[in-house]
Amino acid sequence: MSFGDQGMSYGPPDPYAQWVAERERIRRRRRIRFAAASAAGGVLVATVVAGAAVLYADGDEKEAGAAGAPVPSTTSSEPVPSSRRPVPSVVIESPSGAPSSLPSLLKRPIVTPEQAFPEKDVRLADGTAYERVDLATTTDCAHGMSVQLAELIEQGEECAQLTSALFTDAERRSQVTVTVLSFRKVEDASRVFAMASMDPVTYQVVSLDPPPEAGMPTVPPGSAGVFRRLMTVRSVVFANGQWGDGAETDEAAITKQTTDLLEYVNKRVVAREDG
Amino acid sequence: MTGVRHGVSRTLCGMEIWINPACSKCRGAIKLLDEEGAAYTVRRYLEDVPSEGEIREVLERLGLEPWDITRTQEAVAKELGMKEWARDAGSRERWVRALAEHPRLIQRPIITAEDGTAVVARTDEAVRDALGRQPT
Repeated sequence: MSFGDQGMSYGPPDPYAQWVAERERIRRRRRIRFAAASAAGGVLVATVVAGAAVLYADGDEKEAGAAGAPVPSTTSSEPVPSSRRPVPSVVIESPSGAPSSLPSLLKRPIVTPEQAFPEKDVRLADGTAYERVDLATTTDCAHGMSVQLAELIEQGEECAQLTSALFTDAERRSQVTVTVLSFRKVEDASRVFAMASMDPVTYQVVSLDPPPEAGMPTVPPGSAGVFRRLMTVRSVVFANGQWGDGAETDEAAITKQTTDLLEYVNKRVVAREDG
Repeated sequence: MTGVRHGVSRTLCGMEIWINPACSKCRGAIKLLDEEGAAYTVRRYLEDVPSEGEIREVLERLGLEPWDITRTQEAVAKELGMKEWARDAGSRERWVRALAEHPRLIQRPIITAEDGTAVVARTDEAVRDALGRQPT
């Protein structure tokens, strides 16, 4: 797989590697303490994204909205391959300067699937068209993500809702899954966003396979993928993009599609949570 | 999720649902099971791969043949040329072996019901059918 910025194997983790990871997790659990600010809207996004950008300096990740902010400190020592890395304990500390509007924002209902993904046929401002070929929602979020991400979420309150939609382009060549993972507490969303930004393969949500009626191929296991994410007030919006045939070419095109659809959905979530 | 590792055989008991998290029908089935308050075990069969013995057992519970639960549109099925494979008793084991070696070929979700039967639960009706199957 090539798509270098997030270029690691994509698909179900190796069972033995998972078993090893579990043993390691039990043996030597480490703590990573984040001094991430928990606040609403732009303040929170800026803070956490900045942390991710710094820690991801060896990659090509270009997240929107990065700005100067405290960098998470870590006590991890020797590097461990992603599939074998234990899930660290991540503590998100509440900031002293949270906006006064935060409590009222958190009283708003969780964004619904219809609000996040209102259209089956999507046309973006630049004229590109996409079709939403599948939509799935659950409150049992662990079944829509990697084992490591599920373990990470268990460190806080359980997630409130996970909704995924699978989009394809006009040529039906791409498969981009956009997932909205919503929480009741900002800190829990921050924890997920921070770790997914540092290690987007280990802490990934699952991409949807196209339903049979869509007449599209299932992406071959291990194919290249682009991973992007943004954070709103209490949700993390993920986008995973791949070519349906597993091709590793046209990276710029699949990256643009992935980013555009991420931003399209993110705007709708922000409108509900922070509008 | 169950903790049995690849290749380890076991007897299926209670209600179990075999899922691929990438499958929206699977997520829908789990959602419905939860709404109905069912007690069940989730098995991510791509990671916790069923043995040939388990596949045979599920087929018996389903009352189906292996080709009936094979996703022949998958790329690996095309690579193997499964559409051309014979669908008779003599070829049954070849199909079962392929499902165990390439679990992506297994149709999903499959629910093993309390009464010892199983269903391919791709609709809400099928999930409710599985829920209604109680031991006599």
